[in-house]
Amino acid sequence: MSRHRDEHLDLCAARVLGMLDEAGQAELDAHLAEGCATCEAELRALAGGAMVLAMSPPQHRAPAAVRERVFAAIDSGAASGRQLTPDVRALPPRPWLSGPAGVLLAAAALIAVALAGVSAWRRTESLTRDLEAARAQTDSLRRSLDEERGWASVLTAPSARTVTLAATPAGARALAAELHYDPASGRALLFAQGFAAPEAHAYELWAITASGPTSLGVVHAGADGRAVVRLERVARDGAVAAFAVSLESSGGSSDPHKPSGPVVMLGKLPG
Amino acid sequence: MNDTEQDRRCWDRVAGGDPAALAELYDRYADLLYSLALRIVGSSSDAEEVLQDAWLQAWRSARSYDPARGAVGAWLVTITRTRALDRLRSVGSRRRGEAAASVDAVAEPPAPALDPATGYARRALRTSVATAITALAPQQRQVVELAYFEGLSQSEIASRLGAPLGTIKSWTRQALLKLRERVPVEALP
Repeated sequence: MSRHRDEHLDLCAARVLGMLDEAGQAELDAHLAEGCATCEAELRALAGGAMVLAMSPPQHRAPAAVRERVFAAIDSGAASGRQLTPDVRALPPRPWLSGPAGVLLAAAALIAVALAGVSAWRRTESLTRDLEAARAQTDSLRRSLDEERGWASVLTAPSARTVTLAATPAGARALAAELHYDPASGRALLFAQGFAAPEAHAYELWAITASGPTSLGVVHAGADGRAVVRLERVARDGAVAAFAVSLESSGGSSDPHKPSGPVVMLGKLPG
Repeated sequence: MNDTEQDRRCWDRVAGGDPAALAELYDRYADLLYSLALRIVGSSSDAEEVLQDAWLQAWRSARSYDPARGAVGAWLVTITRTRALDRLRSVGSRRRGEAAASVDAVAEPPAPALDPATGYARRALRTSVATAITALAPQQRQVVELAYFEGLSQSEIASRLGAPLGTIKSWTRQALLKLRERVPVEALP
């Protein structure tokens, strides 16, 4: 058995939060497979902590429409399963069976048919569930496809505009960003690189109109500094004159209509 | 029979294909799961889709639930959180202003409690959870929230907070254990 080490406890914590990489996952799985009461107890305790986190957000009522959709999908599958349930009473008579041996044979046959029927019903039920799952997945994929088509139109729509944001003197040289904006739909796509913010800071995107700047949110870049941001509900009325990026403390500016930090990128809409 | 045992018996019926049993669990956990999804994805429309997909996934994979790996409530939370983080990653970025507006729009008053005892238990649990969260050191709270609600890896958190990886690991574990200690075991789903 692999000897328990304190590092295993850190792996347990990472696993409970879904933060474990493949190597860590393999190491912990191997360790647990050999039996470690300490880590098993640790996992139980840490899972309780994760559950407290799950309960910590402000509580909201789940919309009733979701419940209706969930059970409508389930009911449609369950109903077809019930219709396919076999009815052994409907078996045709067997006139060539008579006497005690015939009764026994008939009983055995009925039992065999019933067992086969139960087995078939279970298979049917399983297939029905698979079908329902496939339908739900198809619906989900269709929604995703529609959504992707909608976003692709930001790049191809006749009304779409492309804005190249350039670093200001206050911005780092590595900053680069291009924003595609469709005033007709109010949607925009930002492609950014070099957006790894300095420690305890974050880059925040702004739309600038005649009435001033409005925050479009903090840009969360990956470890490589790249980010693709989808923005909905950017002003539709063509009032946007420019987009800008500011460098803020982590979490962004406290005022959604005024950057707190320096403006590090700016790009005007082409006239 | 406690809630965990009641959930488990209910799930046995779900695994046997009983939608009514799933409805019982839905009514018990939907608000919690929707609130969790909303916290992660930040938009009510996305949270609704996450909630729907999570319950359908739970129904489809009912037989794969292993009681040895945790309570039914914890399993449902895991499914919902995973779905929500997938959704968050596919969207690419949180839209803060929109998120705030969406959350405000769905902030309906809580449902009336079934009975005074249930209402009291729920309020007590919420108080315990809030107290446990606020009692964490700010860095520990930030680390577990970034991990749990934004799905960041420990390396990503270390990079974002400018702290050594070992420190992040230590804060993660300490925070989870403190949360667990401060909320009564029997109150957890």
